[in-house]
Amino acid sequence: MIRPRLALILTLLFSGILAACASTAKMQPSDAVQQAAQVLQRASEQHVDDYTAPTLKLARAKYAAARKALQGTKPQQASMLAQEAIASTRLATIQAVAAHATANRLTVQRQLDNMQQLAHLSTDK
Amino acid sequence: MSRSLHLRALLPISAALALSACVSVAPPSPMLTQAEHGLQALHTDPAIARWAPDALAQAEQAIHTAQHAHGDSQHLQHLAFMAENQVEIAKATANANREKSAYAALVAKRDAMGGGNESITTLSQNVIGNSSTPVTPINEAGTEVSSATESTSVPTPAANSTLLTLHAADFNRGNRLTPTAYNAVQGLLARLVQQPSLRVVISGASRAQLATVRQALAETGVPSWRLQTLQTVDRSIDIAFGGKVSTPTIEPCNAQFSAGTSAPAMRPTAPDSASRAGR
Repeated sequence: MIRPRLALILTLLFSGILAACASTAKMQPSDAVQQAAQVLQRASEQHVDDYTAPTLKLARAKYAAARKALQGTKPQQASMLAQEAIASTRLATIQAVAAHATANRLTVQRQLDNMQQLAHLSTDK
Repeated sequence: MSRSLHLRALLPISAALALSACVSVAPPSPMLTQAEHGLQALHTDPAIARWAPDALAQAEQAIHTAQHAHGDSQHLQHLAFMAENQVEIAKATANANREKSAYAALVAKRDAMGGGNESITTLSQNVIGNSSTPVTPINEAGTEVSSATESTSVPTPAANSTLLTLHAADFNRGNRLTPTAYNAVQGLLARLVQQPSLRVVISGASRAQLATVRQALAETGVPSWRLQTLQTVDRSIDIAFGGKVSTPTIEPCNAQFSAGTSAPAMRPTAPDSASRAGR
């Protein structure tokens, strides 16, 4: 069914990710990793992986690698991986928005088909 | 003679320069090559420029950055990944915007045909009911469209007469209807359209199950303003005719729950599962 609230939430989530992307470049690696965690958490809460599980899985893998790099002595690598995790989450979110829009379109299309079919039957009668 | 000497002197220099160029310019990573091909594909698709011009510009910028970057291979690989990701974002953005636009156009078309689910119900009534029976269509405002008095050949059932009772076994995990139960709910349409002026009351204890049944009825084509959910202590979910809709309350667009019930945690339905949900 059509859920405008979901669209709103996904849009807000997307905006949040955009802001995250813009700000990670100059961040400390630990902050970038933390931001990636937050972005991923929000995406999970909004069930983005119901639509785009593979993309979000990649984002989680990047995040896990970023954490590992941060625990070691590779802060620069951690920062880059965190940025990649955020970017992948952004992609997953947009893909979820697209899939959701498709589902909405199909719902209305079905309604239209029903109406036209019923109108046709009604005319025949 | 002197000219050939100059040429001879230049040859090793140019060879050295060419060699140094080969050494310093690393071959593009497969990911960057893939991103470049992706960008070319975006350029050949006019829909991208139409639906996602900003994302396309960002993809171009990301690829330009990756192509002209210097540094260690890890950094270059990172930039290639970001560029490739940006290309995919441009594709997805165009797709999302195109779908949203198509959705809006379909909604407009549906509305132009007399409204959404309400129209389905009215038309169903024409088809399923007696064709000689005067039909009193009800518009979205809940008022009778024609001046004809409501007199159907179908006897009016008593209020609260139960149409269907659903038990725990009729719900899957996540409180979704089993395919059999979903069909049973959808099968009620024929009876519901014969009584267009009566409310349909869904009662039971579980808010989630109430919402599921309400959604199934709405998907079938029952106008949302006819649907009323009522939380009781009964474990089963009853679908019954309620009172007459004399002054129907106009629910906000897409409202799923009546007063007194709250929405469950929002969970989107994947496109493929939208059609198979509960079926």
